[in-house]
Amino acid sequence: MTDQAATGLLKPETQAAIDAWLKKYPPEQKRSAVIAALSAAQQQNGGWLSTELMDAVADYLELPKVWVYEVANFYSMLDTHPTGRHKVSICNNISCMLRGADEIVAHVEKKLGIRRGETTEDGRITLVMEEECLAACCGAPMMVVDGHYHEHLTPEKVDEILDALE
Amino acid sequence: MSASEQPDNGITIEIDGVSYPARKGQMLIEVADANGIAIPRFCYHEKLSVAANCRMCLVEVEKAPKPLPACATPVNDGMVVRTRSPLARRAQQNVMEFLLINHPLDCPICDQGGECELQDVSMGYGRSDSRYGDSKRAVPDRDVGPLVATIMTRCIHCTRCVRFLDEIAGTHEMGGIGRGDRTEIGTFIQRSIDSELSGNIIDICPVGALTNKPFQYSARAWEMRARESVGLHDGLQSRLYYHVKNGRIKRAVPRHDEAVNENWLADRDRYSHFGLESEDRLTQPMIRKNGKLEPVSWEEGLQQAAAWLKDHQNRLAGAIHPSASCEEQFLFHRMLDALGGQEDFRLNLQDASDRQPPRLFDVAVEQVEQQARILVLGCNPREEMPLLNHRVRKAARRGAQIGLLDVCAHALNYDAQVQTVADLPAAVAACSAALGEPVAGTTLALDAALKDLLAGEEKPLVIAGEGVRNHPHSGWMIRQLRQLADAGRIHLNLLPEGGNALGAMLARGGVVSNLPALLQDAEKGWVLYQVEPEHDLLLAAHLQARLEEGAGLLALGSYLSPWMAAHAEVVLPLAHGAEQAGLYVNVDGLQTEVTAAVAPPGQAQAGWRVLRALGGTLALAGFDFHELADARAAFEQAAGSQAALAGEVTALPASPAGVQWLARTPIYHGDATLRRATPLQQTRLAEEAAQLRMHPETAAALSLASASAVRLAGGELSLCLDENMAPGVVCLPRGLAQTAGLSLEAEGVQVEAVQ
Repeated sequence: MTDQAATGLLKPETQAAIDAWLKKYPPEQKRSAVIAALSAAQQQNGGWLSTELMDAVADYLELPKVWVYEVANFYSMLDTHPTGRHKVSICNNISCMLRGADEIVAHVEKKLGIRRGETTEDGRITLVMEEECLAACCGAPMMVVDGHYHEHLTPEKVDEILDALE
Repeated sequence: MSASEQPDNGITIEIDGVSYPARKGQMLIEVADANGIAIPRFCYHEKLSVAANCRMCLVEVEKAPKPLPACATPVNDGMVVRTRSPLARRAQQNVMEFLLINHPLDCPICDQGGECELQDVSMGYGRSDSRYGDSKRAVPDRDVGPLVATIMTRCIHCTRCVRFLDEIAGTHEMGGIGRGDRTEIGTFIQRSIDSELSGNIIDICPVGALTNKPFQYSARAWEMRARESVGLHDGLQSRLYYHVKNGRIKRAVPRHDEAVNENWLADRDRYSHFGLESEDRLTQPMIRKNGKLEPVSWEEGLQQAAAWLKDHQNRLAGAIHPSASCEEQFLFHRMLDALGGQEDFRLNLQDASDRQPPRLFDVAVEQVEQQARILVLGCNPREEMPLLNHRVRKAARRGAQIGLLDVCAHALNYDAQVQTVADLPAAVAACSAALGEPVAGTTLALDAALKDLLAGEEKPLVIAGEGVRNHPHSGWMIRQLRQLADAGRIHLNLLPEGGNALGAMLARGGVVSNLPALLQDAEKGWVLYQVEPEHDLLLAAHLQARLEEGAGLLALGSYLSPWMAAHAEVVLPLAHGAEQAGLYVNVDGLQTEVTAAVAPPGQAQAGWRVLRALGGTLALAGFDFHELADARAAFEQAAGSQAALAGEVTALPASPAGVQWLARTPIYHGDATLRRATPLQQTRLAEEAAQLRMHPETAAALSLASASAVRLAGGELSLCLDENMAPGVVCLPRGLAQTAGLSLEAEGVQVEAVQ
């Protein structure tokens, strides 16, 4: 079932990361490692997953391809289209919304000149389409930039964080 | 039911004030269904896993704080359930309203209209108006191939199709892409759904999202009449309904029978009826005048045919398709016998010594899924009998050990221990040795996994197919397998050729003739019955040689093939199996009486009538009856006395030297109607069949290593270098234009490389 040519798309460090995750699950439940495997594959590819890369993950885990597509298209942390160098996700779930997330989103959209789900023309920042609760309600409103949490956001604080991105 | 009658784990639950017996572990909806209590549902399907995602089956359960989904609520002793209480009703109505938010109100232009579960349930549970004012979502459609049409805006995300393709078809071709209100059911990438069972997703789709593509917009459910029939493309004889409008078959749907096809129908049986509309259907009798076939009246056609038969008396040879009905088989045999001729229905036979008739399955189809060890031998069960393969897949899912021993490692839809071999008789000998019945001269070593499978405590089931039946040494192999079965070493399910081979066998009292032997004789006059000689005879070129030497040809059939047009002296048009009454016997010995779904086209007549008229004209004994029932009674009498098989012992055939050519029949090329069924011919399965497959080493041995295609007598065939093939074997696909008229012999077929 494993297609050598296709899994060859996965770099050795990606394969090592997937192997490390596979050790955590019973051998017949490789499906459990799909999220971790896709995250690793996304990382080697500059932040997004091509169909070929998803196929490579499916072949590596010996799973039907559509099972991998389903996961990749479900989670907002996984992208199936090219993204900018930095990913900015502003939580819009209930706690953040009550604490002013909508204003933060409006501010960022205006500042960057893009809408949610879009990437700046210079390829610097992708504003993720939507982000549900990230379990940091005590610091609402919050956002995640390239995997790092930023809490108690104000427009000024957001400016500072975004301006520091290369 | 008293307590003593209750099965183990027997409990009692109360639904809508009435007590019902139930078993622990059953879901509420199963108990309700078993007792005729209607609970609305979309995602639940008795043959699929429980998803509980549509929420339509919410019911009130006493002591539960909220309504519970009946499909995912296990029963408990003393449970009190209300399916129509105000709480249950309100829950069901609310779910209905949510489901209709994004569903288009396009029933007038929807093919599902009139037979739609959503339409039906919304009549009972929906509101007469919509409270939803925002715009509905729209989902783009995907082209998933020539058989299934998609209108995905209508999809309500029940995931029955996804679960069917995961659990039954085993091909995992669809999924739920995206999330929340943006979820779309689809394939994600642009691709076709290629499962051999794909049409079933049309039946299980509760809305009009997946509909029958070739049938699209051609009839409404209420305009058609359902006619019971059976599928005649394999010996399973799947039960089906033909839906008929204005004297034409519009579509086929499965008829539920747990012992045969369950709720399913293979695409082959569902879409083959389109072949009946082919332009080369025979609609009038024809005789050759001045070298040309010309239409004549039935009277003249019958007179000419009878005169021809009389002329060829005592030197007649006949070939009848194994899908013809029992009555036709019996009358054809009786007529040829009375005229001193010989005939057979095993059209794909190559071994001139093989006189082994087909036999009933040792393990009934319904029991196959209970087997612990199954060896598939010389067979691709997905193509030969798709719904038997489904039973094998069920066994595999229950943990059975499955082995595959063939010249090719077929893409099965379950895990199997696979060994590819070039020499199938040697493989049978090796299996025999592993079962404790050594055969002198065995040199082939069986893989340890297969040895283990055969040597296990429980008797293994061997499913043998076309690779055994059509092999140059089929006689030896089948005899050996029969002996193993008779000695109690194995259960043997030998797949028969065509749709009614068991009926054909019974009609002849268990005695078969042998076409390869008859084809050696130059002096014969040939009678073909529903046989398209170019494709249906494995030794087609032999017949062509005889015809060119001047042998006579009388053709009775539903289609006019080029060879008939070129050589037949008389051609009589016959009804197809779906267009006439008849009796059929399947691999388990189940007898089914079928009535005509539609009338045959033009002047074509039911086969038994034509045979009766011919026998009557010739004043043969046993043809002075008037009703089909009389022919059936005579068949049953013949079937009652079966000859014993002679068990001559012969030595293991020598291994072939050099490259071996074997014939395989692709899934959609097995008979004249299939070959003319346009929707099936457009599928990827049909497209992929048009290849000459061989291992790269074999190609090198044939000096074809750098070729992209090969040229055969009938045209070019692309070359597929396939590591899954055993080295030293070439698989020649039958039934294609490129391979028409070929005979397969030991030395193979002449091919020329195309670079």
